[in-house]
Amino acid sequence: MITMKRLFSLGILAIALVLMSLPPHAAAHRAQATVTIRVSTWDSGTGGLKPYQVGIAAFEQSHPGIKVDLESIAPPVGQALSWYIARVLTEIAAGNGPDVMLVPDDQARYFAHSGQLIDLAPALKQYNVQISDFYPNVWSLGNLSGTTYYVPKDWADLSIQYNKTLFKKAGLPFPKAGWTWADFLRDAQKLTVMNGSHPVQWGVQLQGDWLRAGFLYFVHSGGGQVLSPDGKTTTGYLTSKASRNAIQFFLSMYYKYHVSPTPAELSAFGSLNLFNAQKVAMVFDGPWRMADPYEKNPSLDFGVAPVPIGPSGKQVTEPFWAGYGISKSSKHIAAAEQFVAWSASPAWAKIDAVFSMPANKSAAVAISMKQDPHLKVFFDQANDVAPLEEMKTLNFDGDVTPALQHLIEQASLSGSDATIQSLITQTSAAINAKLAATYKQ
Amino acid sequence: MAAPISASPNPVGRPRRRARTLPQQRARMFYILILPWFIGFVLLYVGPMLLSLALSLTRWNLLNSPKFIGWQNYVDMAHDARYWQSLKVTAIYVAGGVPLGLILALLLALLLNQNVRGQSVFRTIFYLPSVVSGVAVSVLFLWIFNPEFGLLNNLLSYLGISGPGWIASVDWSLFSLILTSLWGIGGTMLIFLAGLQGIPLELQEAASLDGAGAMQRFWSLTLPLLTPTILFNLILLIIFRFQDFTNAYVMTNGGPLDSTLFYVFYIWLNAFQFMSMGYATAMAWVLFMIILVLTVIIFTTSDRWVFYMGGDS
Repeated sequence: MITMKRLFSLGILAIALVLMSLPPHAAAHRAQATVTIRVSTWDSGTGGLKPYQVGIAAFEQSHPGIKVDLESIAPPVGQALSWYIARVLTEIAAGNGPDVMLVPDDQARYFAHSGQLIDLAPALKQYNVQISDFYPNVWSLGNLSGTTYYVPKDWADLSIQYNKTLFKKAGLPFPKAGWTWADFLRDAQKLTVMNGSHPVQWGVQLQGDWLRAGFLYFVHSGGGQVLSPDGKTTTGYLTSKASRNAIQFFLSMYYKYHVSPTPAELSAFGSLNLFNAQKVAMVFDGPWRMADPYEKNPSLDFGVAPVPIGPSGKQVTEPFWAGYGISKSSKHIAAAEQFVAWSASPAWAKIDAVFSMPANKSAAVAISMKQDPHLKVFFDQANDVAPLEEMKTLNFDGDVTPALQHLIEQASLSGSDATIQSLITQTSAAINAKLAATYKQ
Repeated sequence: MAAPISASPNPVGRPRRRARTLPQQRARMFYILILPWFIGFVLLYVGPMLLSLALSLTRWNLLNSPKFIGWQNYVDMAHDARYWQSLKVTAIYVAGGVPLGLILALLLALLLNQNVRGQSVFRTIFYLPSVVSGVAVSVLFLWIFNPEFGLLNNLLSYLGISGPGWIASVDWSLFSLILTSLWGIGGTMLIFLAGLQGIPLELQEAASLDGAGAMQRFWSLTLPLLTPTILFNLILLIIFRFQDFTNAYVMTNGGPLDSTLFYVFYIWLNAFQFMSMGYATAMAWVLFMIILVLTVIIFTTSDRWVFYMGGDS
């Protein structure tokens, strides 16, 4: 039976336990309270997270009152960044978003427009970030309507990686700067090997649903655009003569020349890297896979060439970029600003330059990236990057991507020269309808 | 004379509480014991469901506050060609996958109900695939169904057959996913096994003595007595298949050309790729109603074909 005496004893015991559990010198601790900020990324694995761990350790050492909690949100096998974006959006909706978010380029406009991010300009000025040290084309991607929302983490552009062994076997010279679409198609055809009606080797891996590494490159290289500058229509842009010709050339490589696996066939391979498995002789890609697995594959002898020049006559490549933004609802904005400002430093860029290229010119020079024969091609194209179509409009992924992917899939499976132009017209109409609905809201 | 024993435990005259009867005490204990579950049910199920119903009447991109738009999401659904495509694909998937799953699970259960040596080992082996992660299973079947280098087309080529495009083909991709879904019928099989073991052996013996063969015993005895289990598995499989997502997400991304655009996958696309959480929530409610209506139809028609031992039918 519980008596007052027993209750009193239990209460004294409870108070004693609470007091004992308090850390010593609690007052002193409060004065030196550590702030913990959460930083989200889609990189994962031991290799992927190592640059973060090294960089964060260096940041924490130079900023004793700040701890960084790295949140690695990796997509499942074979899936794109949509998984990462879904998780981050869910956290934000639950009021538990990260303080600092790594945002991919195709979502940059969306996050910035939503009003979720702060203007970084005051912090960059306060912490003396040397903006002039950044590649101008790369830095400008983080600026929208005159406001700096992002600091570039790293960047890359598009090149052709080619299998030297397969080229030699086919008796073809290696691709080099100045080669054209016609040269590219000729090589792709000669490098496609069939066993009856089944391909055993494709000349090139066109990137199917990954628009920036395929479709968009060909449109821009052909002198066309997808969207108007205000991002509200495709009429006169996707349907311009230059765009139409470029799209037909791109899609004919599927339905007419069969030099590439179709998007459906590519999807059926899951996460298998066809270039590493030497099933394709060329691939449009950035530099991310060169160090691992390509350079680690003893049987793969590969080279890097600039993307071919299209009918526009100009060298055009596509940028890839990710930037750090700070959430407006962060409870530790000052600490987050220090982290982002530090991430803009050449010191961090050098640590981070494992999978991608530093956006700081001084960091690229310091680690001799520009002399690396594979990476040199990417740096040489730094001034040739096309503007991002995704930054023109509010919701590219929702309004434009599905229709373009549908066009590519349909053409790759059942397209013909006779039907392709009407497919482009239908696609343009479908996108315009979506854009109209978005901008009406 | 002994003083009369007072009928009241409180003879001083204060108002007395009526003693609870045993059923009332039991009812009170019942409600107390289910209270934790009930609180959890309201907070974690009913509450979020009502909130999602409210969200289905809004336009919401997860980043900003929801904006009330009334029934517009439901109206937009009616005019969304991809929505109807996802419904059609899922309906075919369910119509094909559920009967196939039930038949295969029943066949396996019948086999595993035989009194053979190593019976428990076989039961474990046949159940194990269903506990493997959905993503791992999907990646495995990616390789089985790969049109160029996959296991299935390789085996077919030894028989001189040029295999179809499977998951890379508009015509075969959905069938490929139906076959993939059969990997996880271990749970259904176990329930059938339990149902089979609930059938009294004496009935089987009596039927045998009366000259009934194996097939006759199965059709006239086993199957009717198994109908409650079939009903249970049918409803569960319909619910699960309508909500399948992983195989479409990992193996085909809804393609090629939306031929495997599962309903729940399209919900996911709307929620997280197209940033239309309100529309996705509306789709989820429509799915809920579809499954509810189907379940009610099956239940109300079940008395025509479900036989309960000891019942009137």
